[in-house]
Amino acid sequence: MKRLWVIWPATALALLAQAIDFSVLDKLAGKAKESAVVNLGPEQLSLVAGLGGKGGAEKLGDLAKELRAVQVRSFEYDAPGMYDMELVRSFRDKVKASGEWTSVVSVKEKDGFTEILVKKGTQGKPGGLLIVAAEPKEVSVVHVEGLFDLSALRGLGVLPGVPSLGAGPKKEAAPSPAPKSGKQE
Amino acid sequence: MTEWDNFEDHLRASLRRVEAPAGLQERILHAARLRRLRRQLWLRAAAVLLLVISAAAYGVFWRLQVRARQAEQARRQLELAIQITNRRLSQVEQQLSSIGVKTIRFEEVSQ
Repeated sequence: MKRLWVIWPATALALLAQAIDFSVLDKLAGKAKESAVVNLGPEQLSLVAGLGGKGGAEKLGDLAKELRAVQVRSFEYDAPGMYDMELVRSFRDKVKASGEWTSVVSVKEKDGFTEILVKKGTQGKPGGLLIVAAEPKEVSVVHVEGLFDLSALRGLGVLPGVPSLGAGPKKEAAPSPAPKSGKQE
Repeated sequence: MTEWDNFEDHLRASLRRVEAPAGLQERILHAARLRRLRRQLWLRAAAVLLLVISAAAYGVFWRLQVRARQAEQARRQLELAIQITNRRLSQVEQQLSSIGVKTIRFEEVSQ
């Protein structure tokens, strides 16, 4: 990952009230060799929605119309132990404790964890998606707010040969409330 | 008195020097100055109007340019966010796939 994105638009802080406080995660950027920071509020998303275009650009615009906020913090480090994983864990616990989010996938590994949380929505769509992934040399937190179709999000970057994870009609495994992998927390 | 004498009198009377009314020269010069000022005023107004229209057009163009740049930046950020999201989802999918879970329905938590 060669990109170095440290984008701090002044309007980014004007995210909706629903936006999660990511300031605690910004402390993790200090020792990161590469970082990706995204702050998109309703204004920026409406700009994307108005871009128009065809194909992928049109899909991106349609998705942007349904979103209210997108926040991403992704940091990559040179060596394990260069960031405080407990800080990420406490961030996740704080979000879970708010009661707004339901954990749908929780994977714990010996040196990290991944958690996918979904906010209750309407019309069969989740109202928000939160991914918290902590690995020894990389940490990513993604927060997407809005009543969006997850398959639309996946359709914009689907990887071939990977089973689907989305709001599909078939129910092959329905975690209720949370599916747990073999290595659960 | 002959007819000729009458003619001479008339001619003399017609050619006699008549003093211009008082202030005529000033009035003529003033009127000319007014015309010139009026013309200059119109030219200045037209120039100002042209300047205002040009500034407004440039302002609109600049604003559109800024918005286009902001939109492009937002689009790149959204693409990056989607890329990171999908990468993370794919990792989890692979982990779940390895234990036989193929699809997670998020309707379970929707209302």
